[in-house]
Amino acid sequence: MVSIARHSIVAALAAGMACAHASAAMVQFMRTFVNTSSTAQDFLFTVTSDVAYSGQSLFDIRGSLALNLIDLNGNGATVGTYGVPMYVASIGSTNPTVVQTIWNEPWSFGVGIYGNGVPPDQLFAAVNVPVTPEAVQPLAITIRLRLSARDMVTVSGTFEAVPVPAPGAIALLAVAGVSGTGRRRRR
Amino acid sequence: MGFFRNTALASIAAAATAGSAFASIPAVSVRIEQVGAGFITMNPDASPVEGGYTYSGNVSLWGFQSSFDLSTNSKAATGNQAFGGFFTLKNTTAAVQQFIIDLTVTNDPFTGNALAGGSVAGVLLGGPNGGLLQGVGNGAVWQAIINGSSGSTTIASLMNGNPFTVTTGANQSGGIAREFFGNNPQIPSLPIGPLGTSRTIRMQFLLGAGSEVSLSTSFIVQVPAPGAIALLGISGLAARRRRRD
Repeated sequence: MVSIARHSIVAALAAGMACAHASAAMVQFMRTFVNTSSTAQDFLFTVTSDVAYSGQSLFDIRGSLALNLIDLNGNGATVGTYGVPMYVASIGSTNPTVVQTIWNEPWSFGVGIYGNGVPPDQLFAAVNVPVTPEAVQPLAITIRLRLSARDMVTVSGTFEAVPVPAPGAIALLAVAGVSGTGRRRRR
Repeated sequence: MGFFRNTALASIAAAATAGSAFASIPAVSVRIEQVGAGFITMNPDASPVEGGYTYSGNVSLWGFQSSFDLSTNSKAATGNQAFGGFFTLKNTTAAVQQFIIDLTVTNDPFTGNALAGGSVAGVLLGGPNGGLLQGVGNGAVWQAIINGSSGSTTIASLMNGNPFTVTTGANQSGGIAREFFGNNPQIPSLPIGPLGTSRTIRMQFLLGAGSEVSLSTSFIVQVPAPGAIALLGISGLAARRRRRD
């Protein structure tokens, strides 16, 4: 009985770890920025995940970024950075860890008179990315861009992360497996 | 003396085109049809900005969410009148849906030979099963249409294919490459004849389940300002008279 209870606890722990690993938290957005002024303007936009992890120190991450710029006032259009990367992906709340940046300073993209266009797509993926553990760990994307006067740009980005099970959790899974095998053999 | 008079007239003509804008505020309509479900037509208010107007709106219906940021701009120095901006649409259903979008703007009256040009590009954001934007059969995703009293004429089609298809991975963003017309040497350069009463950008496509697309699009026409045409006419007459003298 005790043995079964102990196995149940171990199994529950293992299942919990497996669920956390399988269900990735994610943020994604598509947003249009319109500069109606007569000078270049800086825009800041942040989107945060609804789901937050807790106490995790290693993540597998992936994401993407695409952009579409148009000129409609007949003098060309430019979008670029202003001192910081355009795309910053982070994990955490009080002390977020930056895990990925795209289009680092200085970066710019332009189109000609009545032009529009898209720069090459940006994709990333990395495993075992270290993060400062915190009690609440949402994912976030921060976009900072500078857009030329009277022009428009649409930006779309994604960021997905799954925690990597800590060595202790892996050991528990192994123990659970060995125990289960032993129990079946005894029966 | 005659030379001076003609030079002065030419200067006046240039001045007339440099400061003018639209003869009247362009009216914009946005019609969104989800094939098999229904359609909605919106007539957004025009908000003035330097050289033109902006028009924006959003709507959620049946199986989609949509927003648009459009603008009109008149460049007096060139006679160029621009219409376009961003149109964004998300398929909120679990199945592929077909959409027909008409972005229409009224034209200033012009019966001469106008020039036209335009373009389309975009960004596609995939849902949990990936992103899909596809033409309907072999039809073009994008068309430029001139509407007159005797009917409508398609003057350009972009994003053609068998069918035209763009995909992205699950929960992934990707660009849709630019296509254009009337770009020789620069938009707008395609002669299209009289302008008609309005012009339409039509976009027709299939959008994957959970996919979201944002298309940047423009439809530019070039028409000399009426004041400039009149002054150029006077200038021509004066030159003719001088030659006779």
